[in-house]
Amino acid sequence: MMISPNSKVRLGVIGVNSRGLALASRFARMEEFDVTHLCDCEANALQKCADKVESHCGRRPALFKDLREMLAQPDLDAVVIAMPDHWHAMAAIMAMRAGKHVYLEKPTSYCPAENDMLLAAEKKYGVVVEVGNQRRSWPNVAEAIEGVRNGEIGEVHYAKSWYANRRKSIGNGKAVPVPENLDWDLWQGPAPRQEYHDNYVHYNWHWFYPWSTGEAIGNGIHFVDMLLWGMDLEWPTLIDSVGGRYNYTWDDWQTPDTQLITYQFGDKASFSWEGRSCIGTPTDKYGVGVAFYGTKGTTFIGGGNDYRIEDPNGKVIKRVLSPLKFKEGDLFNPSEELDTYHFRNWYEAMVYGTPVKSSLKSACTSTQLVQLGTIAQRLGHSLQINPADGTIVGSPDAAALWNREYEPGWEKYLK
Amino acid sequence: MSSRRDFLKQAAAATAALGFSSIAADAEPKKPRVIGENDTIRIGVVGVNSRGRALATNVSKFKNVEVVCICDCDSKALEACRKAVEKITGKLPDAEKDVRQMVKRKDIDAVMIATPDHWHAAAAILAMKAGKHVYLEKPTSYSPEESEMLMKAEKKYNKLCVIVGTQRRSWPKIVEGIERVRRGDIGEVHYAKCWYTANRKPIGFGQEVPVPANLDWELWQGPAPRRPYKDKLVHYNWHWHWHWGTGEALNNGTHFVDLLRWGLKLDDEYPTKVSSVGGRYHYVGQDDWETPDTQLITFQYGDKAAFSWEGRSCITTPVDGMRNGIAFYGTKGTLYCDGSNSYKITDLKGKVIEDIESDLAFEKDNYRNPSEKLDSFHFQNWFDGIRKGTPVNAPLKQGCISTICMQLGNIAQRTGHSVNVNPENGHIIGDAEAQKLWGREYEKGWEPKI
Repeated sequence: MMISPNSKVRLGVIGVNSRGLALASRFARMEEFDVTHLCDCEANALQKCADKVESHCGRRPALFKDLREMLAQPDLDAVVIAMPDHWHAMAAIMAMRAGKHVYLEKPTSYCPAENDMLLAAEKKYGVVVEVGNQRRSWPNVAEAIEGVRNGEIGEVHYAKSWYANRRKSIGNGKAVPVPENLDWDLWQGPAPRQEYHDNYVHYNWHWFYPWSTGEAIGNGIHFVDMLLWGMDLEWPTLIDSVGGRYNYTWDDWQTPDTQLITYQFGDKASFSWEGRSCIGTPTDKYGVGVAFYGTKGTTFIGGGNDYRIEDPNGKVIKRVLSPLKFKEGDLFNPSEELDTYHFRNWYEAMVYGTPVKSSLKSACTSTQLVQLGTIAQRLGHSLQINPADGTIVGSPDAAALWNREYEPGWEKYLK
Repeated sequence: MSSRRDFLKQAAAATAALGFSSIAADAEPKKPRVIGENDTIRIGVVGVNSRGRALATNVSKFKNVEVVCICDCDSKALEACRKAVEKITGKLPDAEKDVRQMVKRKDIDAVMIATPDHWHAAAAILAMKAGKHVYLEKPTSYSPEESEMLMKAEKKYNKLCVIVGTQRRSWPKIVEGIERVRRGDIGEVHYAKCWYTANRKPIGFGQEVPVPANLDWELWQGPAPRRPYKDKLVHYNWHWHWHWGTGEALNNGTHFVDLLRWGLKLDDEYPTKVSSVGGRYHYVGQDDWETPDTQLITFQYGDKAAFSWEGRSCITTPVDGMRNGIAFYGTKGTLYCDGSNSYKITDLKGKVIEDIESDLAFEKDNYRNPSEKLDSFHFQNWFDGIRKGTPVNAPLKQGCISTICMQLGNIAQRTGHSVNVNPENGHIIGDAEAQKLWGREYEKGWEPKI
């Protein structure tokens, strides 16, 4: 399954309206990759992305509406998955089964049960899977995290992370005929069928439970991933969440726009993720970021490839700035040049067998941590977690949210 | 307000029920003396090693206020405080070891209570029962049950003026900032945070040693079940032992959560859920500190609001440049206060658009008396309440609700799971394990009763 260093990786990108468009556009300009296939069930997005790729490399990729057809193509080595969350795990498993290497955007899955399926598939099919927690490849972030892990700021038992934005209302959607450019059945895929409304596609599906679990899973995961990495932690013992939809309460948005998820790791550590989707006021100078509180100093990493260390009085004692900038307001492509490091890491794993920086295992853990946070939020009480495997202890009311209900006929693709 | 006759009737009915059996002979509730505008308010102060001494000396500077008696079961602290008062007034206040005796004095109108936490409610109930006005340091009580008792006691002895030492409720710029949050100057507010940081060193391991001659250990323990005396406990470090203290959450968190509740207009309700993470992470194996030194308590108020308190007792790195603080996240702006008599408002991008400073200083690292001039506003408010019936800025009920909120946080922390709470009365719903921590076990003969 290894790819020869002498040939380019033939790449298919699935879900290309926004993040997938950014990914395709970047891969198309890297000499290691050839973007040969594109897939989207929304025709306008597909054409727009094809135009973009063609403008970069002079050749129009093969276009597909249905990923099942694209995955059947023999002249395809690897796929990039940037579909809505409810499709992630299923598309990744389908790709692995087809023998394609996978770059899977976060979150790894829609619900915890799908994480186990993904890990089983990875083991079974032996392809290379890299997850889009791209900060794991950013040099200064990696340096900051290594510092935290190596005791640069002393012992660390407590950390925080946050995401703040100024999202507007999504209004009240109306049931309308499905637009001709969209295959609504395919878009829904594994999710149980719903009536089409005009404020779901694109992007705002993020705020509806049938397809996503909100800001925590959309953005929190990046930062929870960094906390796990820096503190060398895996499963917590306790998770809880407070918050709600507090802004524009008259619109259709379902998930919390304000959320504080808290994690306890036995008597060893605790950390939190704070999300404010509609009130963008920064914390500690960063709109998004993490803070590791060490006995000798505190390391702050923002959304970009910069970090600083403050002494206990708040005086900056180290500051590392990156020439490559992170654009906080850009929802789809805030860090293009930086992400190249991550794409190259995936390439090297496929060609030379070197380890991926954002492994499926680590990303499934980060994903599950925010999923469990949202389950706690929805149930209104804390969850006891088995630190050996991340399963919920007790709480029979949580079982229904561990799995999801699938549209009949689709579950077979997860096997 | 009930009529005087109602009051007497209520008081008589309560006589048998309320109070400590150890002062059962003095069970008849007393009514307060009528104090005119120019009459002197005569005060007794109990618990005077640190915060109590600050209170005693600060109020000694007021006109028409006299600190008549100082009470402490540690004779060294007692003498030091008496001398400190004498230095200001030229008159040495009386000494009393036992608060049960002090509250009997007819020449005292009011009592200021700054004992350790396990004594707060007990001392306040004794004082109220004896017809004394009360200034009660936070937390109002050691357990949630005791705060409920206090609220009931206040209703019974309704001629008394009771104020809680959440003194920021009287600081002019903080009052202004909170009023602005309440009236919508930063838009709608459904989410807020507060935090407290300190650089507390290890406290070592207490050893069983003979009780020092200057300390009445029996009295110091008061309502708490008896334990052998250990060193490194009295003074101050009892804060970090669950048997007497309530940890940083109540010690300092109460002040800031009290402001959040006030600003969010959650005046009369309790949260629906309280959760907590954290632990004693620092100097492990170097001392016998029990309470968390790192803690994040989260509060849910149905679908209406959420807020949190973060405590870092051993890592001082500021949040948004503030070692202590509160932040209200409004739809039009964020209002911050760093615990001093000031506030600032930023826009949603973090740009400061108003910075309201005060020339009255707050000394962050002065644990005992960080804000003497500012606290005078609070004392004056209490005196006005005693003399003229002016409503107090920090009513007992507000102090009790804030105290119970934080205690629920400690209960969640200690049981290792969230507690569901009845928003009408703060009671824990279900959860036998958590219910066990609602009240406390008392030393026999010391149970406060209503």
